[in-house]
Amino acid sequence: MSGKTKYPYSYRAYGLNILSQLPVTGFEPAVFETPDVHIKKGPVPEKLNNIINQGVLYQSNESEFILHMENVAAYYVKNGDEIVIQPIDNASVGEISAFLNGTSFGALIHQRRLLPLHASTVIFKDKCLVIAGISGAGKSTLAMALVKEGGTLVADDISVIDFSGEKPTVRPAFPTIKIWEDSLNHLDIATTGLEPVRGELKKYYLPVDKFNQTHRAINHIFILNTHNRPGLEIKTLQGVDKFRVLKKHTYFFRGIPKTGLEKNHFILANQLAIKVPVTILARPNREFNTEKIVRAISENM
Amino acid sequence: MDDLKKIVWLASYPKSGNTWFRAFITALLHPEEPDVDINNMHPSTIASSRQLFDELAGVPSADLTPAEISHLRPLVLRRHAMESEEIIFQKVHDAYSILHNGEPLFPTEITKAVLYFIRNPLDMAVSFSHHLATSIDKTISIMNNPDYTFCQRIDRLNNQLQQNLSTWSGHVKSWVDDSGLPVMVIRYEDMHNEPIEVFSKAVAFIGLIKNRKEIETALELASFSRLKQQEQEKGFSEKSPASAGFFRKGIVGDWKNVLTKEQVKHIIDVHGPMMKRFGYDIDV
Repeated sequence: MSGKTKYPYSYRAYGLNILSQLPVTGFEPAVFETPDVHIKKGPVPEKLNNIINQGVLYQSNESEFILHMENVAAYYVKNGDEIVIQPIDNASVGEISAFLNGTSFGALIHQRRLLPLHASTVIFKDKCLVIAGISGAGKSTLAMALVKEGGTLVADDISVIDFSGEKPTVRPAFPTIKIWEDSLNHLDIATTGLEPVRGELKKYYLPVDKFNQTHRAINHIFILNTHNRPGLEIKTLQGVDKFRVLKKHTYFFRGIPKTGLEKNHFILANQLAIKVPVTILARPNREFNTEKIVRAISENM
Repeated sequence: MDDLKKIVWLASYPKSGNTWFRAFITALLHPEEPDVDINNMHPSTIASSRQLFDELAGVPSADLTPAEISHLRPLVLRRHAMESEEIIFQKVHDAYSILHNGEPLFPTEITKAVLYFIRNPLDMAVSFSHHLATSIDKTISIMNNPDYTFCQRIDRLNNQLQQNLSTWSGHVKSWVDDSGLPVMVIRYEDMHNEPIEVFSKAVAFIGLIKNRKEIETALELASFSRLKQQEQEKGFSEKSPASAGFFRKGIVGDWKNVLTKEQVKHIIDVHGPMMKRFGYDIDV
């Protein structure tokens, strides 16, 4: 680290101490001695030299990841401990943060050989519940509904699984949920004063008071799905089906280079499948009946 | 496969025979399967799939503006073609369009061919109203609205990306006249009346070499009654939640039993020229 580099911001998220030159919407300020991750402002290369994986907006190899968001910023994530950001003029802190605390940290977590699930996590009735699902399944809405019913938030959208203890835990992420106006209306929460994720979208950063800061062993993983039939459907998975859905709901699995990182992912997902029960909870796709879903969770957790 | 021309667009306004053809193609390409699983058909995703976009773009479309998504869609589809080892049969309900930056939404360089499915709008209106679970009059106004767009709400996450359908006539024109792509137009009514001939021509147009026996077998496996029976037994994931069933009657000319004179006139007043062009009687 260069002596000239100044870091006015320090945060703790996903169990990591983060020093940053830029403010990050949603992350929780923290005081610590040793940083795990540095976020710097600086130039981001157009291309990686040795690309293993790529999509329209990103390139990656085992230790580097580049994301170019045309109207927002470019991000360069390397070695699991550094993110360089080159913001576009006029981009807001909220929108720069959206692709930082999401995709960029997802890549960083893979680089650190941890397992990020596309899931929100809540402590509810003293049980640690991981709620995985594809975009639009209702993870954040359900997480917030459980918080309203007395739960505490552990993570929204990305749940980083920690295998350092006897049982797998979820690393506390940060006390904020990204949530759509329609869901806020559904949960009777006003949008007044909330920071939008993007200026044009009716999607907001919702600060959550009840946030869990400790590692808790995961009691149950629910996969939140939708279907076009009436009523909730519940199915507990066994054996290889558990591994298959955990792979499917790994955050940004496609971004993992098909080399050592993928093998590492296989080992971790398998370990999780063996140790934790996994239940599919499918709801009608045009209905989010909070009461029924919370009851189904309570009865099956 | 170096050539990027890997995508066969199965393009249509909704409820015009697209799903029937997909079931047929699934049976044709997988003769080893004893049945067509309607919930796992070969061209499994629609071009407007959110998951397809998110995977290939690398960022969640949930954090992108509609303008950014439009701009990225051709690039995502291009990558879809680049990464595929085989021909992709890609269902699509969007009208063909040129984006603000001058690029086509469906790039020419990745297009192998277009099969455009068209159905008499009088029948289509009846079927579409069931699909949308709305009135015939509302459905007719949708068919007349150039700005009609699926999944347009911006206060929630829709299950698919936004798709502008244009008017019914505008949709036909966009693919058949404006796209400049190699298009074969397939009439739903001909699929019913002369299935072997019509499906054989479509198969030849997209460059597949199949004999008559193979086509007959695939048609039998993808027959309307079998698809409908399977939906009744197992459900169909593509059914709109509000409608009673995706495979309803599947017949030609049902509009005569359903539409009022005013509704028929309303459709013909707006879409008469396009109907006439594709052989649909407008002197009714």
